Amino acid sequence: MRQITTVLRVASSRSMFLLPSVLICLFAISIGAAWQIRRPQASEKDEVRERIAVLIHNALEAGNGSVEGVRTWSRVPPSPGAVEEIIKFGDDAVPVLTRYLDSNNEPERAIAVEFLGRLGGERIIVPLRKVIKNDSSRSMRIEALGWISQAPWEQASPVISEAADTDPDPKVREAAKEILVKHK
Amino acid sequence: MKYIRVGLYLVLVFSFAPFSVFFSSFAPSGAQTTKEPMTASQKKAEDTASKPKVQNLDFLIAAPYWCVEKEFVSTIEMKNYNVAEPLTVTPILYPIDGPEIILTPITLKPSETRLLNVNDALASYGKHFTVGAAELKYNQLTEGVFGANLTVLNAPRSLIYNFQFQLPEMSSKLEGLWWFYDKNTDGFIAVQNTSDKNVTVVPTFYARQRPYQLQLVQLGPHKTKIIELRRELRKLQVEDINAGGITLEASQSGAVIAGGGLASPEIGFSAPLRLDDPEMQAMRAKRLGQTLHALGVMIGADDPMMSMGLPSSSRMNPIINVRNVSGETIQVTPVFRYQVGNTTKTFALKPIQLSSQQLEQVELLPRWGSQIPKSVSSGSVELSYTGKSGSLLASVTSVDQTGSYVFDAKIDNKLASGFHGEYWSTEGDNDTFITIKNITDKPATAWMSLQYDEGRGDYELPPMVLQAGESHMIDLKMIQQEGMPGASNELLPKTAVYGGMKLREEPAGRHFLIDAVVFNPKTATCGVCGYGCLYPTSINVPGGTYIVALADSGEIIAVNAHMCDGSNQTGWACVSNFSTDNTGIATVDPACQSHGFGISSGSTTIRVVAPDVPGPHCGEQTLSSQRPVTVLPYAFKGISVTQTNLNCPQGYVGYGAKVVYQVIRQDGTAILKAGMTPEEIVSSAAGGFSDYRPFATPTTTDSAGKFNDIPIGTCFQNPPSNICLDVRQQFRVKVPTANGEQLYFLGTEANRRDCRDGIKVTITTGTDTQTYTLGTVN
Repeated sequence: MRQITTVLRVASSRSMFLLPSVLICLFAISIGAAWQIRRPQASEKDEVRERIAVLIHNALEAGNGSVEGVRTWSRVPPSPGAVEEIIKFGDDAVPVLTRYLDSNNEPERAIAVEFLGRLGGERIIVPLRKVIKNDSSRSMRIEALGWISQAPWEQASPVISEAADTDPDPKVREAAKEILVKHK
Repeated sequence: MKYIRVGLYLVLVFSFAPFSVFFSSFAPSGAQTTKEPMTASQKKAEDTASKPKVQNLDFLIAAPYWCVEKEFVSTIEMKNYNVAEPLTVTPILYPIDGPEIILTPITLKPSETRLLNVNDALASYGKHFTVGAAELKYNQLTEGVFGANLTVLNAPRSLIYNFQFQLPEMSSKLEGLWWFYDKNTDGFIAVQNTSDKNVTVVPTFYARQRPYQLQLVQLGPHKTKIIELRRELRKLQVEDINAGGITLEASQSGAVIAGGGLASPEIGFSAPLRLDDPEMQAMRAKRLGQTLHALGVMIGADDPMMSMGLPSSSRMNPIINVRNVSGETIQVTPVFRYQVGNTTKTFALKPIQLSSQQLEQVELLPRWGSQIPKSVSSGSVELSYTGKSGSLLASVTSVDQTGSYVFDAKIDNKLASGFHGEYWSTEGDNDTFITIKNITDKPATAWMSLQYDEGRGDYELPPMVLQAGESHMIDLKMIQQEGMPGASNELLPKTAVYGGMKLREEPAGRHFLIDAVVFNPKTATCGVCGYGCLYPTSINVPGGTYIVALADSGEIIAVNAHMCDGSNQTGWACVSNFSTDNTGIATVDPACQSHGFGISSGSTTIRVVAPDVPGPHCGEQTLSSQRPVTVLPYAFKGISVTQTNLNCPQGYVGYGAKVVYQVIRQDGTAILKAGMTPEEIVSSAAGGFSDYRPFATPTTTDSAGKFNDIPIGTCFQNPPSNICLDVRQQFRVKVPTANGEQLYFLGTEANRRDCRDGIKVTITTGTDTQTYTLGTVN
């Protein structure tokens, strides 16, 4: 009988730790769940980053060839599938593509500008403005001017006007003025 | 001040007013007519009994009565409606009691009105017949190039009868009504067989709704007989009847015409007695509705602002006679429509029940000063009726209290694309009043012109816009005397004393009724002018092959009409229906302001149909035309090629260029359209891609249809020399449409030779080749 009583006491004293343990477990599970919920988002961004890297790589590779034993490269328009993917990524694609605008590889920059242009919308103003203002390549700036005109005009036009007035290269200024004239 | 006066007269001239038969007669014929000259050789030819040969046999119009008895002068007023071609007419006189007299053919200049004095013509031929009928024959493609009127005038006795030359009626039946102004009034009906066969005519009087069949009238070829009303009534022993109907039933259709007059010579009363084809009346009712219109109905006192020269004591009493020619009872509602300022007002009389063959008379003067304001001196009478179309026959004649001044309103109510009037006169004391009434429920524009000086002169009045139901009266003498400028500031010279007239309407017409009278207040005579219908003989779609680009609208498709008078009228598109034979190649808007639209490359035909438009004999017709259409594919045209940076990878070099293209039609004209997406496939020895991809920067065309291909060129890795690569670009374009977008493959190609130190671009559109070379190209 005593033994029975002792057992019950032990059980009772253990039950005092059981509730906090359960609560701790639940908390941990919650944290874990919350972490689990957040974690896939982070991995999607990575996925965007990775996927865009693949798309840019493919675009560059598509231009490779050879003639008379000499390797060649030419700009190839992105495939409709690639453009569709970029557009599907939406806003998430912008920071990824923007990073390519600092690449030392001109073809990479050019492809990034084109992807941004095809993405369109207000979101491309800032990155393309950066190209128009700072890119060392004249043709890159001209190309960026062409694409930025696809963004909402009230936001694009000040950038184009600035280029028309201040770009050091007359051909860039001329290209900017042409765009402004067409939109009059 | 002068301008103010002119403006006032313009207002007067274009303000509404009635017209219509007035007194019975106009100026003495000697003053009105131009004798048809006859050379000595012609006379000699006549003397040798070698009759002039009838050259114009295709069309025949006839008038049943002329009279050259003492104090009577008969004049044929004829007009060549054709504005561009002369017309030769052969007049033939058929005396009642003698053989035919073929007069020398007359050649009328374009738009010329010519007067032929029958008295003089008979005299020059040495003939002494006094009464007869006349026919005019001419050879033309359509009947609507010529019109004529026959006026029988007895100026000393203030009597006048008018007969419009007309084609033989289509049916075998003619209906008319007669009425006696006073106990001394008598009347006659001239019945003419215009055919080459014998015809029997059954005349029937209707009095107090009872038929009285008269003696059969046997008519040999081109013979005329006169039915005298009082004489027949006496024979029927119903002399006390003062109004009734008459029906003429011929044994052959398309052969008989008839017309007559009513006269009370002692007081100078005369009025026409008209007989119409009830089938034609019914046909017109289809367009006009079951309402008869009498224009220019004079009522009450003369208008001091627009005087017709009546004595101040004259009070014109419109006498309305209505006859039910159907077998059923009908109801007639007479309405007098008049103008007060710019407002059209109406006064409706009590409806009249008419049994079969019943004739009733209504006088309007008693309403003047009570229901109709005393300021009103003219208006129009509208007679709406129930029952079958063509059941109602009517006359509206305004007579003053002396019976001498008579204005008869011709109720023939023809609708057309316009009208030609044979005759107007301002010679001596003559004046001409033309009344136009818009019978539609919308405003409509009328263009009235007067031809004179053998058709060489033309005076066009400024366009007149008439509101629904509105009437305008035009006083030609006022225009002439006050020197009122025409549409092009031209004047109607005072030396122009007679001529013809023309009313043009908007395409397809059928807005206006017209009537005109030549009256002479001195002789108290008023003649009714004759009118012919203007109608299109064909429509055409000008411009040769209609060129339209893929997915693009072409120009507005115009439709013009060639009118029966040789004129052309634009603006028929809005009365036409459009379609194409192959909607897979091109479509077209079905109606007004129609554009073609290119669906796919190829050729087909645009069909244009103008249904139920005015036609010959003042009837209707359906006209059609067509125009070939070719849908041209798009092409890309190079606008410029300039050097640009190729942005090669490190270790590579190449020569870059920017090409500005413009989307054009195959004929080289630009397609000014934004939003088109050019796509390409590229092939070269170094590779390429075979799925079409958008390649322009930005992706779509601007509003000028331009786009940039930047950059083009090939980068070479450490090339030992100016190495080159041939590259071929093939294109297609996506074009936004109302339903999404349409894809078109193009014949355009860009063949490039990309070199390390230069580039050559050859753009071929299929019809054109452009080559640009920049830098050094091996």
